[in-house]
Amino acid sequence: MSTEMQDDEATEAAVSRGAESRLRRLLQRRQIGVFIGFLLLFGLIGVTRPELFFSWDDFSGILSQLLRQAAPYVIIGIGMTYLMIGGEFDLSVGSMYAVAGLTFAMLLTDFQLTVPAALAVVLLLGAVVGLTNGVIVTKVGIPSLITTIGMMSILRGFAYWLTTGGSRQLPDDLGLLELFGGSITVAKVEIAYMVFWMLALIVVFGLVLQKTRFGHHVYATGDDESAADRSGIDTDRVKIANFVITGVVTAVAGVLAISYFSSMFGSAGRGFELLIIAAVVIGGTNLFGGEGSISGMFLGSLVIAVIPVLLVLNGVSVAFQETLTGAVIIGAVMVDIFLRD
Amino acid sequence: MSEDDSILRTVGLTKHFGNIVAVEDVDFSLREGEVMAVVGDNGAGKSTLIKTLCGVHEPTSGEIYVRDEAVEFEDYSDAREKGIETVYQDLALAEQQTVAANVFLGHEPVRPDFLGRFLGIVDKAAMRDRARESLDRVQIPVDPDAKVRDLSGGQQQAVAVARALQSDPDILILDEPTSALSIEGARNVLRVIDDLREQGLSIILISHNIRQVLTIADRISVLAQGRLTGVRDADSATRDEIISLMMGADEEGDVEEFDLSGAEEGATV
Repeated sequence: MSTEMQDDEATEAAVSRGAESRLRRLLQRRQIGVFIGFLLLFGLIGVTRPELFFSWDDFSGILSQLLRQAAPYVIIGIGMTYLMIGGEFDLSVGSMYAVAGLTFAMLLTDFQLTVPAALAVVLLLGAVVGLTNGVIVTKVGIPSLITTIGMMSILRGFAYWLTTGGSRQLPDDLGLLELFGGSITVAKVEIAYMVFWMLALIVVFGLVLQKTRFGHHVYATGDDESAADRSGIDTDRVKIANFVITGVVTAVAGVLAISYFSSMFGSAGRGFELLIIAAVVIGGTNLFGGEGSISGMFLGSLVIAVIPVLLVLNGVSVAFQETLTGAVIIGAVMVDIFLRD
Repeated sequence: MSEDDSILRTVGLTKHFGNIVAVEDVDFSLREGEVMAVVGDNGAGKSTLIKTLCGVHEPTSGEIYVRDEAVEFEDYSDAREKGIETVYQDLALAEQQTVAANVFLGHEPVRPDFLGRFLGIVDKAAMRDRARESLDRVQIPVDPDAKVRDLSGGQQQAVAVARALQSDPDILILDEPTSALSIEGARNVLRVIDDLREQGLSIILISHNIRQVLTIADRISVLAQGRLTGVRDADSATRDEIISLMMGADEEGDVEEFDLSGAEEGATV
């Protein structure tokens, strides 16, 4: 056996390959591309309705609208990012969002609970729904497509039942609610407190994903579940945790939304699941797991949120908006797959 | 049977999958500090034998002894506790993650301060340094920050070996480590095996490349149709002898009545 064989050529090739891939990684930094995409779409508002960009009143209104639109996507998207990096997804988030907001209202009005108690119950509900999804997917072995579509339907029915087909209002005499539903106005840009909650959640969950062992295990699980499993990672537990996180942040989003708008329809959050999955994928999370980031998802959510603003301001009908949004989602995923090859 | 110098042995090891006999009555033994090759045609039972030794399959009957202690493995971690590590044929690497993350997959070092331990904050600097040390041990240069999918096959194999060495195993099982590699990559891996033997590890090497096995191994166990048809010293064994054992000849040299079609192609040389 020629043990002295030290392959210098291979070493050099490896080193140059390393440098090259670092450069490529920097250039292909998804966040930069997505941010440019967002700016282009945002700029399109200025091109099609230039007068809106020359009046600060109008411009600040657009910014306020955009933040309000994006915040629930981002908050739910945090959970969806964990799930998708870990190789699963959850289609029940839109329904969970409605159930959370409506249950919160019901507990405050019908049951006269205090705000903290109602919040605790709703967060627990989100955790239980997530746990149920996670256990069915991992332990029973029913794919998340089927499991979470079923859960979507169950929860939507529950949302309609809570509103008897209409909507529910929050009592408006509860001071603590201001903490969730209030807003401040800076230079005529209205910033809902929801946005601050969103930023706090981004920081916390972003750090957990990037810095902790759990975060590493989320990536490994979605990358190659069998490999992760053989390395001693309890991949079922990781996935269940991701479903629970998703349930809880979705509950938070529902509570924040009804606190801000002070009422919610039984149909609230319909279609959120697709929009949020699109935001996550646009943000660079691999459709098949193992790769992705919260920051990318945040920018992806801005893209998803700016599209309806652009369309509304140009008088495009609601029906066509849905169609166009669907086309954008498919297009974005196609571009994503194309970029990866 | 008692083999004083064996670190791992099986007695009458049998594994059936329903009606299919995968491994039948195998008395296998690995001596301390040797490289024991396991060869056999496709379907001869190599994989099944190895998977029972590393805890993937539970044997239908028979015993496994590690240092003369009877053991039962329910999963990988049981085998790992007894000092048996496996480098799987598919390497079991998370390819989109970095080399360092893979070396420590599932066993990431955490920061030693209170917060680090409480929250499980990964000590990335330590992980990178220790990954580099482990990779130095296998003497194949790999950047710990590179993603595994950007590496060559030989480098990926090195990462998988470096990870297996993390738990300081006594016994290392390598499942077809060279089958997917270039000649260059294969040579490097064989050098790594040689180094690890020098460092005192006991190694089981699954292969169907007889020439390679005759070069690197100390002894060779041959499987055919789920049975152990012979154990030979690599020094004195010949290629023809091994092939005839692979085709089902028992110790006396009689070829039993098996369907031998395709056996020759399986014996890649």
